[in-house]
Amino acid sequence: MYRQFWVIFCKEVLDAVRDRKALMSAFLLPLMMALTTSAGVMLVISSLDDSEVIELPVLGAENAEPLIRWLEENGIEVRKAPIDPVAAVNEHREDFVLVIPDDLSEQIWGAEPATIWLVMDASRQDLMQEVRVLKTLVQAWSSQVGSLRLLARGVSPQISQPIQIKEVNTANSQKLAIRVLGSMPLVVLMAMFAGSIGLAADVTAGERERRSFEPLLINPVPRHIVVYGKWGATQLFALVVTLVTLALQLLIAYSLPLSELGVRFELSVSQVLLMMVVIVPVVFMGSALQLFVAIFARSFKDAQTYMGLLVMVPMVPGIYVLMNPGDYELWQTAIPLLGPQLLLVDLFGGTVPDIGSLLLVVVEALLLGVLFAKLTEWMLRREATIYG
Amino acid sequence: MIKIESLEKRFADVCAVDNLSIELHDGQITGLLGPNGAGKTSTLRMMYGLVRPSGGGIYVDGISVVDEPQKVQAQMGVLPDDGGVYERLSARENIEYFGRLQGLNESQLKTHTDELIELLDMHSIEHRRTAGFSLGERTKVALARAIVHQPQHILLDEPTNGLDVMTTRAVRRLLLELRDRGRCIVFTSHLMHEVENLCDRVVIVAKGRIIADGSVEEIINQSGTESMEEAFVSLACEPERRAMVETSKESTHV
Repeated sequence: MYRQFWVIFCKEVLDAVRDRKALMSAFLLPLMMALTTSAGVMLVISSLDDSEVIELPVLGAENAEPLIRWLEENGIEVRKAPIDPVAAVNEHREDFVLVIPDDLSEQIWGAEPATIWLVMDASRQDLMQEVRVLKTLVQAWSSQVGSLRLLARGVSPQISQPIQIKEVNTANSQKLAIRVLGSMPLVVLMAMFAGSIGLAADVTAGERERRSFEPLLINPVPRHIVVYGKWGATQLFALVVTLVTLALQLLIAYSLPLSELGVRFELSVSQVLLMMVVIVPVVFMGSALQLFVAIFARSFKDAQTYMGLLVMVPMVPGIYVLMNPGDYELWQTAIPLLGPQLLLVDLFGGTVPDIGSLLLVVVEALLLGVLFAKLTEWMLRREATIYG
Repeated sequence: MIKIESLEKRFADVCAVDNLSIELHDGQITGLLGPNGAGKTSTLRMMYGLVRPSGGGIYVDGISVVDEPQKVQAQMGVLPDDGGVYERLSARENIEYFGRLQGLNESQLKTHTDELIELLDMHSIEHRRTAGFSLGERTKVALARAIVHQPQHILLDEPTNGLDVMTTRAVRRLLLELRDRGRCIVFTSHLMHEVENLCDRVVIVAKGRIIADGSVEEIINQSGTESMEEAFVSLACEPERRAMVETSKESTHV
């Protein structure tokens, strides 16, 4: 029996390794995901030093020297604007232009309400941030001038400011980085499901399509041994792809300049081992689930369609985890695929989950794996599966 | 020896095999003959244990197929009517896979595989992957892997269907060789010359029942005709269809 298991296992692995296209696509996804994650983290880091200089073309700068000086003091690079500001903005020669009328200084000294124009294209969302900065600066200068006027008349400037809003920005880059790192468990689980799709479909629906189940089952091999052999090969593939993905993700976490974000990412060997303790049973279960779904399909193509949908399964709890980082209840770890992701998020973040949740997740995945394998075996006993 | 006792198989309201009893002997090639839908394939499938009979029993050397299918399968080599080979494995690997599943050790496996490759003249395709094989080459691989464990009982569902002359001859030679070694060989066919050339015994099945059983001469004598084909038509076809065949024959004479 053990020998027969081994024979089927080896044949399926050999068969799968020779399927170059399927093999490539299995490993393509982890690589792509690794690139996506690192791009995500890099994006956060680059948005951090967003002290990018804003260049501001100004028409009539000589009419408001104090304002220009104020803007320059606040890091705006002022330069001469073309004489046709509206056309320049329309034709995208300039992002925006500040227009200061000739009589501005007279109006200001005369304490009359004065107007300056910011010519811009409001449909360009990418510029809104810079426009907002400019507006804030101009308004700040304007209220300074106003305050001076009040002071000159012996009135406290505070009288004109009943309410002041102060912003406290909590969306700091650290949190963003943690969010990106928090997607790693989902990435790992999705790679697991995607990595073994080809193999799981080939050893079930593929055999049905080729009509090779019949000759195979004429050999004196118990049906559960047939299922276990195929399951073993699927697990091996899923496990290899998962480990490659995990390794890539950890490599990214180490190699990116996360310290710039004030995030310390350190993993001990025991934490990585605990991750394996969580991941291996999920591979065990996920592979059996894939076989069970794929054996319903009459052709390889059908099976791939069904299983493409199956890749989405870990995404639902995955997105929940992303949306609700932080604490969780024990009952939440009991939900298949949600539990493992919660624990992995903990482990990535450097927390060791408690032994109760760990046991729950592991035992549950193992039991579900056996259940799906038994269901696959039951399908394989049906004459309709062999001859359908 | 294979003994079939009052075998029955019903699918929904169709009776594919109807109270069929027969003994198939060692050292003989038995041809199961019948029109399409006569129940030949269903009978074979029940014999190798993949389809459960609705009633009756099948005993292979005294072992019940229904009760101990795997024990029976170990002494049986089967070429199903439409069984795929693994395209990413070479011809030899396909044969070895089944040999290992049958429990052969590596030295047995090598001797048996070498022998079959010799007998079926497969040297040129031995190490090629079977993707792109011709029908004849595929059938050779499927046949070789079916009998690599040298089973006592060999069941073949239309083994020479669609094969060219050379391959057909190779298969025929192999079957005669195996018969002379005392194996019990059963095959289905609807090729009359195939049956005439190869079979020691012919069993004609129609509507799930045996309607004639004997050597080629006996069957021809029994039907009062001159050739196997005419005998088959007169025995297996329904009266009205027989009449139609007769009429068409007359019209060609005229």
